[in-house]
Amino acid sequence: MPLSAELKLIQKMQQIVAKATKEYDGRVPAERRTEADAKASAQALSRKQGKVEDLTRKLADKLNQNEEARGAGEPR
Amino acid sequence: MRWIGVFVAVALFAGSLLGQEVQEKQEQARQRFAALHRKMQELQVILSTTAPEESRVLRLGNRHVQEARIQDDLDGVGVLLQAERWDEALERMGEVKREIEDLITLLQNKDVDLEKLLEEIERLTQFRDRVDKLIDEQARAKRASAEAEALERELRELEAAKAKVGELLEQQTKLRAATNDAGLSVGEKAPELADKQGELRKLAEELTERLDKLAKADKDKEADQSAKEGKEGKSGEAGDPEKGSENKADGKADAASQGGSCDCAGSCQGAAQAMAQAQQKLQANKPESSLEDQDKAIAKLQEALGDLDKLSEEARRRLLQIPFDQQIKAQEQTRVATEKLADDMQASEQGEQGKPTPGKKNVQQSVPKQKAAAGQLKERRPAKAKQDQQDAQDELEQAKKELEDALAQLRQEMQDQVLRALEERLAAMLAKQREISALTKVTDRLKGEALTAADTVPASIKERCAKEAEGETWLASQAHDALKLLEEDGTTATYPVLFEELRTDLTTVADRLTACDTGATTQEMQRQIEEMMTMLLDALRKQIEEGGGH
Repeated sequence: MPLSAELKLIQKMQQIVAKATKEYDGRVPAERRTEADAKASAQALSRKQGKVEDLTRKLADKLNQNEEARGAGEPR
Repeated sequence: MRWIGVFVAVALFAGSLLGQEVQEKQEQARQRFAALHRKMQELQVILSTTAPEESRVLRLGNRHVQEARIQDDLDGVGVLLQAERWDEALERMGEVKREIEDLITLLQNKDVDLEKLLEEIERLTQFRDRVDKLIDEQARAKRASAEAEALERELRELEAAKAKVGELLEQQTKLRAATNDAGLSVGEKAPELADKQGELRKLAEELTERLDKLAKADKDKEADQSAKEGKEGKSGEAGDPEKGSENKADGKADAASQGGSCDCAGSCQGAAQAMAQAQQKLQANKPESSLEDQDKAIAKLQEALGDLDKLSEEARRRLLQIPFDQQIKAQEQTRVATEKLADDMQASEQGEQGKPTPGKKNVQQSVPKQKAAAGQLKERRPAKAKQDQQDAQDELEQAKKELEDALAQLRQEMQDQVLRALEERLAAMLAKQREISALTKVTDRLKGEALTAADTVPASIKERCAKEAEGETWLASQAHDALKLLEEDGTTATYPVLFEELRTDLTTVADRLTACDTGATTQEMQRQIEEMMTMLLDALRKQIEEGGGH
């Protein structure tokens, strides 16, 4: 899978998480956020955001590695 | 596939029910299967123009239903149940179950294809690795022959140099005698003798140059050998044909310590210098004085001859030390292994509808060349053996290339199929999720209405929740299967993470529905699942359109 496609996928996932966070913010009033149901939603969102972060970090590492490999291949 | 799943479940549970109920369930199963078969037949016709591959799969499935007489077997089970012949009915049900499992395998054609592809990749990878090993062995055998050949050439060159020095020595001795005989009355003969001395000097200089080159080539070879030994370390294998060359390297060191070919060139150069002096003195009509220089030239030439003798003896000794028997044995072992590989390649084709294994022809063709090489080694002809070994190696290299090309093509095919299988799976999952999401909304409304009327959730609502939860669990299992597909593909890290996330969400929603929680949070989770599925589906479709990202 090309790196650009992976990046787009991660971007889309981030958009989904952002949209869900807005939805949560609108749907769950502040005073009800300590309730079990609201907590479960927030935890799911947090987990998703963590996954996006992890994927982004891995992609950045991959990009760095590619760049280093290209640099090493260039004539001095 | 859903129909078949329901059918199998019903068919399996029928055995545990009794009497009327069992017969009713069996009748339901029979009717459902008949409906499924009808649908399959209709779809086969409809898809024949728009989706010929799917139509082909359905045709295979329909043929299987007819050939296995599944419908008749289902009727038979009904008759046996009516007659309360439970054991026979159970046995017949077992048969039906096996037949339907075969039908499922046939209809899940894509997965079978993927499995076949994986098996083929595994098969060719194993052959490629074996060819690689044979190339290594063959190259080692060739290097050993090349070293023996080089030693033979060195010996020939030393012998030729010896003959030249001997010839020069003879002529110089004759010239000395002629000069001595002429004595003080050399007179008119002096220029003639000087010219002759000049000719001999020229020959001595040429010989010096030749011996220098010989010495330089010898030094280069020693340097290569040391570099190679340094690279390979001291991990020499037993029966390694190159072991002889290690002994040879030691021998070479001995020869160098005893005075290498450099000394021969030095002696020859000394002879040429003495000859030049003698020539000058003869030109100056001083024959007596030139005799001294001529004697020096003779002594230097004798010295060179002695050194060349030593070197030649040393080279001969090293040549005799070459373990030709070991080399023949190693070459034979490589040939046997190559023959075995060719046979295995041939045998493995039987399961591949006679499709030739890539590289097989080259592997087969390398065998007679290896045989010829062993024959040449038996005749102590390393130069010819080396050529045959090179030819055998070339064939093996070509076989490796063909196998690698085929593997690259298979991996590409594999990736395309994985993407298509994923896309199909995901599309079906999305449709199912939308269906469940809609049902959950209705269930939530019904639950609200019921709770207004009473305090407890009615059984009918609980049943709806359980069904929806079952659907979500099925979707989670589909996501799990998709993950397995992605593991086989292994080209991206992003898809597996997202499918894993999808599975987690589906399991969470299934748990909530099991607890009959159909509220806003569950519905929002379902919406997010749909959104994620749509996103993945779009990405997969785009990748397929772009040729799998290649």
